[in-house]
Amino acid sequence: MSKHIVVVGGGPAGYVAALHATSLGARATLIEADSLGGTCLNRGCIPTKTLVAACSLLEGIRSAAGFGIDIQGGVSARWPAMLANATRVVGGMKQGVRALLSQRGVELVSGHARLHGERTVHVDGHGSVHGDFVLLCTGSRPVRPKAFPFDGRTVCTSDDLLQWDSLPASIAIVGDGVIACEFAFILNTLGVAVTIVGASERPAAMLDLDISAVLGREMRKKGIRFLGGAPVEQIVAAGDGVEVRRGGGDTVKAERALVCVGRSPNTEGLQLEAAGLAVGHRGEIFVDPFMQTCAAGIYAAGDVTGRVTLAHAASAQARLAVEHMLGHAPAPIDDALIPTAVFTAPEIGCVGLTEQAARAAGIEVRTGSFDTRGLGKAQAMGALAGLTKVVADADSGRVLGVHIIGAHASDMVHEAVAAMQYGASVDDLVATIRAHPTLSEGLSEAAEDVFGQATHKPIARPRGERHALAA
Amino acid sequence: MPLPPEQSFHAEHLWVRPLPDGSALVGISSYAAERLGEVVYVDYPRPGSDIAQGTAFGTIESSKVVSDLVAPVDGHVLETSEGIDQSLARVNADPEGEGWILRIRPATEPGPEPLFTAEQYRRQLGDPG
Repeated sequence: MSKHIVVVGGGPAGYVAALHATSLGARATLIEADSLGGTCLNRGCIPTKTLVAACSLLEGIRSAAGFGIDIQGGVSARWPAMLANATRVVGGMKQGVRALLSQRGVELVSGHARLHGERTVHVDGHGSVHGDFVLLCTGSRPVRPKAFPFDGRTVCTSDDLLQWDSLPASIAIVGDGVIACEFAFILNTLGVAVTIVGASERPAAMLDLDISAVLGREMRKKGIRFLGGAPVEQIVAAGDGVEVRRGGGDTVKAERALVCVGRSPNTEGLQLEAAGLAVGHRGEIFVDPFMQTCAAGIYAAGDVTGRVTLAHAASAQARLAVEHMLGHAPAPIDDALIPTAVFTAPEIGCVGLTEQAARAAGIEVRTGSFDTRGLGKAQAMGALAGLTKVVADADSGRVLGVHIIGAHASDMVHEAVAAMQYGASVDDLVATIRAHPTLSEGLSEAAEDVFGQATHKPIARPRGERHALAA
Repeated sequence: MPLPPEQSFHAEHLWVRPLPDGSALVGISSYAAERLGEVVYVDYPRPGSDIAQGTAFGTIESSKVVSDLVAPVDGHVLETSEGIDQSLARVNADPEGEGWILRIRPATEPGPEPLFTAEQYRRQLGDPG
């Protein structure tokens, strides 16, 4: 008899788990309290990337004259229509997910779930469901510091922003991480005066310094103001807008404030204690490398574990959990090989260790980089801004990280992910032939630059030294 | 050693020229401008910040390359050419004149690294003219 997996939460962890379970011959029940697709599809990745695509098109139209194209008449962005387009895209994808679940025979239950003893889930209005296994995938939500006067409009989170009926003239974005930076570029393109107010010294501080430096330069180029180095202590209503007060006493005034200071796991109301589950200080559910909680038969995957708050990580964790439940002996996920995609302008794709993290870990590294503007394809596209950087172990030559900022970086990074998955060396990257003219050629050049021998850069190290990393 | 009264050049291809009021202009050499090609963006330091000889205070971006702007002397930034009409075009058209990038208050001691006269600088570049 097939195993029965009860999945709580229908986001990129939960619905993927249910689909994967059925493909492996298990029976799946998927419980979702809100809307299929989770944050990613409803309030995150997909609607925001639809907005990013609209902004990219708008920028393209604005720069059309440089390509010899005259635009007759004015060009303007209509925010409500842009949101409507995002809603249309989301709706279509949700239908797709629902159809897939139906085709696989996944039992879909709509309602709030809470644990009710051993491997049993109670769903409001539906009674209890008992499975061989339970997988908790309840996701996360934006952190809303109690000191900030959230009203959904003047002071809001990214969830609220997608409900706005109009754009403000100015905004203070509180936070300097990925979501803050993405919204900074979207709103700046749409004519909003943007100030990022962050605690870090630089935008997206988790990124490699060289990538963050290019990002910072692109912000300045576009007129996005970045005020880093001091946390926001207070947001107060002031006249028609807000005052964002930082440690150190300075203040930023804006029409609205968007707070992007992290995400918090959704564990309230799950009655975790009924299954003997403990949570961390952020509310995250602790899991082992196979996504098992401390309660037998209960697993968790995705943002609710607080591990890697990325949709693709959630899906990978969910698949791993299901395979482990069904006795397929999967290999644990190496978090270092989970890529990051940041949809700023230009976008960013990264995998593995930054140069700074590698050095901090005591690894002797050699790095190579190549400026995107050195590529024929980038020149043809008029997409000059960007950099590809390779971080390698100086002794073995093994690739430890690849960091790309530039057009299509979020797509290009996967070559590096695959290479690193198979333990590639810098020599392997150099030996790979990439089509010309493509943006991927930047990886060839950056890898060659690790040896100081990039084809399209002044030579930094003579051939006589050979490609010896430890030289 | 005080700042020479004439326009003088640093090995990293920026020049400094004292003005009568005690401030000084800083810009890139014609050689650097020619190598860069069309300048598309200058990442300026903030007025009020300090620059240090031999250290990058910003970047200059052309269609071909992004290069550090390395300070020719120690000083305090009074003004940048950001926002001045046609400032980027001026860098290309007249890099050693109207295409200045910063106005600074030079430090009393401009720094330990050598500064060269225009003639010395061009001789170093192998320019016989």
